[in-house]
Formats: sequence, C-alpha cells, structure tokens
Amino acid sequence: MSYITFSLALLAIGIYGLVAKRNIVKTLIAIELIASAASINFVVFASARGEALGHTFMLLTFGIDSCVTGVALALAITIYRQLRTADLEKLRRLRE
Amino acid sequence: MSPDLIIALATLAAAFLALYLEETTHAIGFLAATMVGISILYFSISAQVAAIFQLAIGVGGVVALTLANEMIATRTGLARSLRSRLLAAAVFLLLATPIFLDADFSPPVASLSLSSPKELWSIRAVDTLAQGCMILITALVAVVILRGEKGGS
Repeated sequence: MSYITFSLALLAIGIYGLVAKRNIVKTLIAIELIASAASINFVVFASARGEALGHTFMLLTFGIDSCVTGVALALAITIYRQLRTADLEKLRRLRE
Repeated sequence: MSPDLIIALATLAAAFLALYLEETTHAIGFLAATMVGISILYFSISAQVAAIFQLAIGVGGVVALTLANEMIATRTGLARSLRSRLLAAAVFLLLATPIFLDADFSPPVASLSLSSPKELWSIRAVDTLAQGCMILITALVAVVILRGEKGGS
C-alpha cells in the first residue's frame, strides 16, 4: 500500500508541474515523472502477485516514454528555432 | 524509520525540487536524482531488471533534456520569495504525510521466480505493434523537422 501512496504522490507532483509550469523543459520533466509513477504501479503490482507480466509492460512503457520524450524535445527545439521562445503561455498567445 | 522510507521521501523531495526550481539545469539534476531513487526502490522490491532499465532510460532522458536545455535555455534570474518557499515546503509536507503515516513502509510480497523474457514472448504481437508505431511516429517527426529546416533555409 505504501508504494502505491508513493506513486500517487509522484503523480500529484507531475500533474502540478504539468498544470503550473510554463517552460517546455519543465513540462517534459513533469511528463517523465507521471510516466515513472505509472511504471512504479506496474512493478509493485507485479511483485505483489509474483508475475512477470507487469515488469514486461513496464519495459514497454519505458520504450514508449523515451520515444515520447525524444519527439517532444525535437518539437520543442523546432518551435524554439522558429519562434525564439520556450514559454508555453507565449506560444498560446501567438496562436491566438 | 526504514531505509526504504528515507529513500522514498528523498525521491519525492527531488521530484518536487525538479519542478519547483526555476533554473532548468538544476531541475534536470534533481530529475536524475529522482530516477536514481526510483531505481533503488525497484531494487528493494527485487525488481532488478526494472531497476536497471529505469537507470538506463533515466540516463538517456537526462542527457537528452540537458542537451535540449542548452539549446533553448533562457536565464530568468528570478529569486523566490520567502512566502513562496514556505508554501512549497507546506505542499511537499502535505504530499509526504501519507507516506509518513504509513509506518510500515515495506515492499510488497517478494517477487517469485519472474521470467520477463517468457512473458515478453507471450505478448510479442503487442510489443511489435508498439515498437512499429513508435518508429513510424519518430520517422514522421524527423521528416516534419527536416522539411521545416529545408523550407527555412
């Protein structure tokens, strides 16, 4: 139970970063934290039940998470090259 | 107070600081500390493969974030007020309280004979599909970026 609480706290911190931070890099860090919280659940439940399926799904989650981070970083760099800003609020205003 | 509880609290603190600090270079450093903490927790629940993957993926993510941050970082130079720091400490304590209250911060039932390769083989279709989708998306993004650069130049 305690590991689930830990994962929930990590998820809450990640959601706080996703909602409150305006920097693209900070937003990506928040996404990493949320993905880590999800992975912890997989591992904890797999260990509790003594099955390896949760570990396997965690490996898949890791692969997908790293791809998401790479793609998001590429987009962030492209946006910065085009618009010279890494502030999500400014980008939103530019769109309007 | 068990060592696992101390590591969990330190990991939570590092995760919180990774988002709280304005300087992104420091934030990425604390993200690395978070990854190391999670990896140690995986070791403590006998999930060695998960711990090694967490470290490997964490190192890759931190390196990519550091490089991207060097390219797009802007120095803010804003100092936090005392009120903001106190509020952040209060929020962290609020998040950490349930873990403190759970006095028995022990791992779940120790893992039995886990065989990840066998389980991975049993869901090989999902694995192949997921990898294919990721490669396709990565290729599409690369094409979009390269076309954008070509158009810009």
